[in-house]
Amino acid sequence: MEIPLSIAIGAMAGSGLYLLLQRSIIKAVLGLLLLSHTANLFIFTVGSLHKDSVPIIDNAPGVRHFSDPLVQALILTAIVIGFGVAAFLVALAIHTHRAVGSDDLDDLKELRG
Amino acid sequence: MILRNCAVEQLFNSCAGFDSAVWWVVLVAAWGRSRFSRLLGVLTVLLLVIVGFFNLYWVRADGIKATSLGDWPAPFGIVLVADLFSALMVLAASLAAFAAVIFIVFAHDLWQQKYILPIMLMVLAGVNGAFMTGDIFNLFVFFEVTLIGSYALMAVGGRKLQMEAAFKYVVINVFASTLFLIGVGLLYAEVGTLNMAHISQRVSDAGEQNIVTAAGMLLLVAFGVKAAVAPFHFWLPGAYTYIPSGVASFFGGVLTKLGVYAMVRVFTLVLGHDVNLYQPIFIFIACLSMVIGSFGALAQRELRNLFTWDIISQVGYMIMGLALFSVASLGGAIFFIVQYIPVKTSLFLCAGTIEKLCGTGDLSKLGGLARVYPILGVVFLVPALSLAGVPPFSGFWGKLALVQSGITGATWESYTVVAFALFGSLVTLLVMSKIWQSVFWGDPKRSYLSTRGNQIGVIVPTALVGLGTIILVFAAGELLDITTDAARQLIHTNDYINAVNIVMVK
Repeated sequence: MEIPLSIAIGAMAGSGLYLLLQRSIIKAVLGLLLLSHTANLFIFTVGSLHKDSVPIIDNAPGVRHFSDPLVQALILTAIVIGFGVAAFLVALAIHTHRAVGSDDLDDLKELRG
Repeated sequence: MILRNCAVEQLFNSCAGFDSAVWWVVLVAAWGRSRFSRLLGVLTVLLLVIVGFFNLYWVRADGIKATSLGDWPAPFGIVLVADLFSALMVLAASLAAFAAVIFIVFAHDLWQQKYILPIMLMVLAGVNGAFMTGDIFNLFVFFEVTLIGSYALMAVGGRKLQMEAAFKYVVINVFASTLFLIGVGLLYAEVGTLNMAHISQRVSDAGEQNIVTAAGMLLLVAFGVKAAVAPFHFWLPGAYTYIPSGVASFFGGVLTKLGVYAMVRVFTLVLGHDVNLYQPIFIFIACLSMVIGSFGALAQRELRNLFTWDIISQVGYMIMGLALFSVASLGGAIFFIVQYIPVKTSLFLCAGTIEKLCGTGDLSKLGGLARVYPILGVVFLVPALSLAGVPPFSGFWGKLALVQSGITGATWESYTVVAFALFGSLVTLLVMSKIWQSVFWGDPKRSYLSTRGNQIGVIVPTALVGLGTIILVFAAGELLDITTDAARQLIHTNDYINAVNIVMVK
């Protein structure tokens, strides 16, 4: 299972970076969201994916593979944080669009210097 | 003794926990009632300063303290650890926040205070939590708490330039947080634990590993962005220029130092075994930051822009201490950070005061302030000289300790970084004299003489921090002793690991 997930992670990270480097504000926001999901999926894969394996080993004999439950707790925390940041980002993008009057990041250059 | 230990644990539990509990109370109870909310905000931060003092005193007397949250034993539960470094950082951050909160109460409009004060407490809770935590994932969470609060504070007011600054700030920080998270994931994949003391043991047992190195590089970039060291500094200039000036003083003093703290903590405790690998990188970014930051500041025509560029060069000095990696150099770096936080806060407060009194921070539109507001001149001069490293002010002692440790290091790398440090210091002095010349000397401009405001209210917090930096002149020896002990704890990680082992599952 790790190999398809690794490919998915790579594809998502690539698409996220591609979107982030676009000139549109909303595409930058989408790219960031995609990147934060990439991190979550990455940590999920780190916990080693085995079907039908026990989550916690209790010194039981014969248990060779186990799935780490901690990574899912980590992802849960990261998802919640990412969700809050996503809501803020979208609101900020709307306000920036209203204040600047365009969706082009190149118009945000008054601070240059 | 047992009673006293309990008291210590309670105290530094409360340092991180207390504040986050109280900001909720402030937020919920006092959203609509400004006067009550203001009082509660100021009292909370004052109490935090007192707790910070006791925390430092007891950590100095009894050694490193660790406690597990919710009584879950480490490494499964989260531990809070107070060593001298984190205790010093908590105290310095709380002092800076106290001055900033008083300034906000006096200088900003009521509608702004209503939003700023509760969110500022949230940021403070995140900062203190990050200083105290002994768990690397928890460090990430506290970073996010700090950042989400700071995102909101960047946007209070909603002016066009502010939205522009806020958007860039949020994008770059979310990206850096993602790198941080992936780094933590890699580290966990390799060593199977998140407790920093535990990781440290396992990494040193296993020797050098590529995955740990990859994780270290990701963390280096993530912390580098947050600390705004060159070449990751590009987001910082301009970011603090259009936000409310009280908030800018707290951000300028404390926020980038959070990245420096994380860098020092992770690259001494967690990845200190591979120091030879990271040392050239740290020396490179330290030299680059000092030069880029000081020359960038020299080119600016706006007070807050100038101070913001200056942050970059000062962060270079802190990284220099980490790069040289000895007890003396880290002690100097910690001394430098601790004295720098109040100094930078008071400089940003001065900039805010000038903007409040004269309506502008543009150097070409200011002049002759020493004649109109002599107290402000004195209040500005002390931290400015301290920042430039002029004896006998506190910045001098920090730089002296750093340069001395560089010269005793006696390698060509350490000589290089010392040369850059002395050069950067000279340019900083030039920058400060440029400000003094164009803002305080000369004839007062007519445009703001007519609006001559009440200077007492806004100068009080600035003078308070200024007084603190003067006290540091006399207490420099004592503080340097404490910071050298703190550096010893950082380099000899056994003390830290032993303190955590007490709460570790058997």
